[in-house]
Amino acid sequence: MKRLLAIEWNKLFYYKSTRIFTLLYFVLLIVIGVILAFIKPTIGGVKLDIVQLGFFKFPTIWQNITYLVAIGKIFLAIIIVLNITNEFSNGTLKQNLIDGMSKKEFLYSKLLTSFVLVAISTLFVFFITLILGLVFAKGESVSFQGIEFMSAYFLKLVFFFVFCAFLSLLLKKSALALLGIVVWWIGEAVIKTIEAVATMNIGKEGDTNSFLLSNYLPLSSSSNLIDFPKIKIEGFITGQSIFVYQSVNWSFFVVTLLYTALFIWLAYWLLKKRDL
Amino acid sequence: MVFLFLLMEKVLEISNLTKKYKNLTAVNDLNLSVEKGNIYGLLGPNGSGKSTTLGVILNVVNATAGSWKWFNEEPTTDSLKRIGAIIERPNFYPYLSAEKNLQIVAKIKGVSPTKIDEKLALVGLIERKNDKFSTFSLGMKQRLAIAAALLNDPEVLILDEPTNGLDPQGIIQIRELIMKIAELGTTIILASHLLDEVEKVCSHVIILERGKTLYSGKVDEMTSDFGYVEIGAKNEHQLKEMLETVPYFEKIVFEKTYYKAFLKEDVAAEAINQLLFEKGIVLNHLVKKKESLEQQFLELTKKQYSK
Repeated sequence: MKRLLAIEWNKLFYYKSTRIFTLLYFVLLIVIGVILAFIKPTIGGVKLDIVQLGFFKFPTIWQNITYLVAIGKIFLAIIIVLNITNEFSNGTLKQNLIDGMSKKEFLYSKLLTSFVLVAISTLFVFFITLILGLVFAKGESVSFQGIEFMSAYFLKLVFFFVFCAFLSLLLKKSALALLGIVVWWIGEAVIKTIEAVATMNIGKEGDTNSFLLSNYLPLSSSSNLIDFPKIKIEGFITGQSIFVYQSVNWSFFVVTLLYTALFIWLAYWLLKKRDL
Repeated sequence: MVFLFLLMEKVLEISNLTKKYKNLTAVNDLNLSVEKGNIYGLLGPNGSGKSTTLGVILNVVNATAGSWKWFNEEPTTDSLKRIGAIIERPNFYPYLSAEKNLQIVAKIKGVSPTKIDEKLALVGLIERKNDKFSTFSLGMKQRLAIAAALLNDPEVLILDEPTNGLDPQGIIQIRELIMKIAELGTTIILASHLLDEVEKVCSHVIILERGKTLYSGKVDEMTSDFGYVEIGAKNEHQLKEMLETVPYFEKIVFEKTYYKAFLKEDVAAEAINQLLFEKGIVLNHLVKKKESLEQQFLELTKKQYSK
């Protein structure tokens, strides 16, 4: 494992795009945290102070922050896509195999890199959330209720990067792989709409409480891991937090875990079968 | 003879190897074996299955049928770590320096990084070791590839078209390098479509044609014939008449200023000279030759087509 990570380190660390996208990613995470805390937009004459709305209150802060920063994963996904597709365009995958790396080791090294990136990102988000929570707790006690959203965040990223790795191995070119993600995403949206229309659930496509099978498609189920925070309007009137704590929907957790295993297996099968 | 046979250590043995693509059979029931210490030329026109065969034995192309053995063992990634190979073009990470690129190769092959400087010096790139691969000329890239292939002090070196696309100077450099490596006792398999290259470098030759072995053996034993003699004399007419009466030849053709007479048996040039002199013909030209590899190759492939 150390050997594979050392190999990956040389491949990645000295690659300019990796540095740029990693930097962008962490800047983005910090900026999101800072902007949220200090920006107070006025909508329809009502000054919206999300601090006042209880955005940073435990326990819902775990869900709120992980929901918001998950979008940034695309920056890390680009690193993974480039890392894999470059191996095709440079012909280095072939050379690595000729030099005595097995196909299994190759895939393993790429997955390992993804896990390391996910681990770093999860830790970073954990500390951002903890710090913001502490800053705005104002004497209230720190709560680790809701911390399960960190594990959901971890899995969400792992699944997404495995999915990206699979598409990169399938399509071999970075532009095609990134386009592939978009096309897949649109595809799921279309299927969801069709199912919603067919089952008379129009407008409830994203509602995880209305039972739609299409909610369990790969990208949808990983997206449903961390749902949009539940809101109750009474909180706004009484000046309390408007966010309602609701734990992770574990059915999506299990399904996403299964999809992760499936895409790893598909990636391996593809690599094994293909002539290079 | 038996002893000699036992001494020959088999490095590679391919049995009944077949690789089919959708509607093309690239390698067709191929058998060949490679013995230790020799330089093999893998010869054949483009599309004869050279690269596919190498791809299969190097684990990047899946065989349809058949098997192969490295060092008398079933192939694993560990057997690949005893081999050095370059396929087609030099494949490296363009944004990494020569040294960093070789570090990756060293890690994969599991050899000490101290080898890196040694091999860079061997191929004459030690001065450029901190420069990015993308700044290298094609000749330098190819030499770096050879350095990478030699990193594990391989028992076999496989080179696929190593001089492809190089300028004459680059070609000479690579050739000298190959000879240098061969002197160290490394078995070399050199795939090429350049006959001249194989003739200059190799001791053995394997000729492939449409995925089948046409010939496998020593370069100078490629054809069973005894060569030919070029014979010239002032009186061409008299010479021809005389040649037809001599039993050594199977075919006589006229070429520009002399006759080319193909031998039926092994006869020394002196014997022919003496015979003709005794019959009153004084020669002004007498050379005994064997066909060049190119001619032999064309001969072999022609036979195959007419079958």
